Amino acid sequence: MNSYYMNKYDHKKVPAKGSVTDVASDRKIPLSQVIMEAEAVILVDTSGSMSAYDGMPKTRYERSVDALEYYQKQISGKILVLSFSEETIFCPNGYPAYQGGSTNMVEALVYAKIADNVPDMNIILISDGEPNNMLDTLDVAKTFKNKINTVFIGPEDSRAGADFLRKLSEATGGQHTTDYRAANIKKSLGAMLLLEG
Amino acid sequence: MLAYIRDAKLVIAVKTTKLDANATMYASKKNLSVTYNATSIIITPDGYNQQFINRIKANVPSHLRVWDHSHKRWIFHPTTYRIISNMLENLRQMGFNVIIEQAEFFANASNYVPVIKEETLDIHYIGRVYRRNNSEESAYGWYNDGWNVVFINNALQDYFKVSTTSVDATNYYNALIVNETATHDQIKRAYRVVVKQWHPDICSEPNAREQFEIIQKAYETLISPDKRARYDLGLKLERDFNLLASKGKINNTNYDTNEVVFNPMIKCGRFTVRSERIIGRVYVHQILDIDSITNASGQVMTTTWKEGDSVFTTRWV
Repeated sequence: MNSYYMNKYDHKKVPAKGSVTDVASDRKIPLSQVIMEAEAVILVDTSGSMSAYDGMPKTRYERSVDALEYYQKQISGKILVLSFSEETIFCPNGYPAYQGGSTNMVEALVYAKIADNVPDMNIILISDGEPNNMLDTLDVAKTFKNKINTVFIGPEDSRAGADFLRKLSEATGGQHTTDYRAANIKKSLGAMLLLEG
Repeated sequence: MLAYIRDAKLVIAVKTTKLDANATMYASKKNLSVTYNATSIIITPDGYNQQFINRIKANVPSHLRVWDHSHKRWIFHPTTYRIISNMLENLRQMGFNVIIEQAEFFANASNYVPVIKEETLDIHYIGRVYRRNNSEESAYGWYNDGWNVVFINNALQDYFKVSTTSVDATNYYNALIVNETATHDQIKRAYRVVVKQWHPDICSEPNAREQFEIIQKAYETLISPDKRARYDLGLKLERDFNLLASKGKINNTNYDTNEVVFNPMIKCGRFTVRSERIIGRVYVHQILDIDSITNASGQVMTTTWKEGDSVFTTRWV
């Protein structure tokens, strides 16, 4: 496996404020019991392309993490963060582990399927590109009972990626937002979490 | 008076004689008769000998030996044949007369094959798991008016699903002793069995109140489909994360490496087991099912052992 960490988002740091780990530690209860109260599962693409700066001070990955940090503080203990690239990893500390590999979205959705058993779980997928296997990804998405909402944060010249995510959310009755180069990722994510207008 | 004195002399004389006789008896009790049958090794001493008893206790683990009061003989598990063989050789060198009744003793003992079968036992109390002389961990169960059942620790751990990670220490499925695939009815049935055993008004075990609260919470969570779905999500995610952390693939400031203290949730019940009957005891290799013991009035047996008491107490509820 590749290194999981990028610079200041190393897991050795304290958990993000409002992450499930932070809440579990604060309330002195098992992690599993905090997870029971979660309302959203956010699958974050941490493939190699997420290290692109897009002419901005921070990478797409870092901008996504900043947005996650912000909303976990807003709604403590309600967000489950999963990082996906080659593998899918649950990150209870609130920071999606950076993997830097390919975009294995099929495995991400298969992993997230257990969350689909929870009625009305808000499943949000953030990605900047097309997955390894589009057809298989759509097939898995169609088995979901809950909606999958998607946010595309790739470049403008990657329309195929945006179109794919739109198709994926439509297959489940979910919403899609195209946010080129994650320029407004905080607002886009907020809208998906129903916290922003 | 004379008669009395005479009688007293007689008494003294008799007593002296008896003492002398006893001394002679003890000194001569060094004959050991050894026999072997399909399920045990039997050593019959010709009388009480402290040296012999010391040797037995020093060499043979307690759960592999038993004193048969009615026949005044020791019975050993056949797997102790090497220990017995060495012990008898040492005793010969100490002047004991060892008589092997069964010539094929050592050869046959090494061919011992356990006979394991399924049976149902009404066990009135399961004690705590202890490490025995040979480092095997086991718990004794009260059955047929004695501690006649031995639970190998693996059998208990497998059934009660004990784990060394904290996520399973408070696992609601473990609290009700059901599989994670248990149906609604199975959860209900399991709750009825377990809750009666741990109600603080009935149970005097030190952690009764804490266990009772966990059982209540477990039932409330697992009996509701929505809550159960949420709980299953939590279990899976926490386990996956701990697994990665234990392999060093993720730094986890919250990875829990604490060992869990094993605490069986059932203290009495009708156990369906796979077991082996040996030297008068039941050795449980696997627990298949546990149900309540009920009386003619439909009441359920509960047992509890209060700290400081010399015996457990039984109640019907």
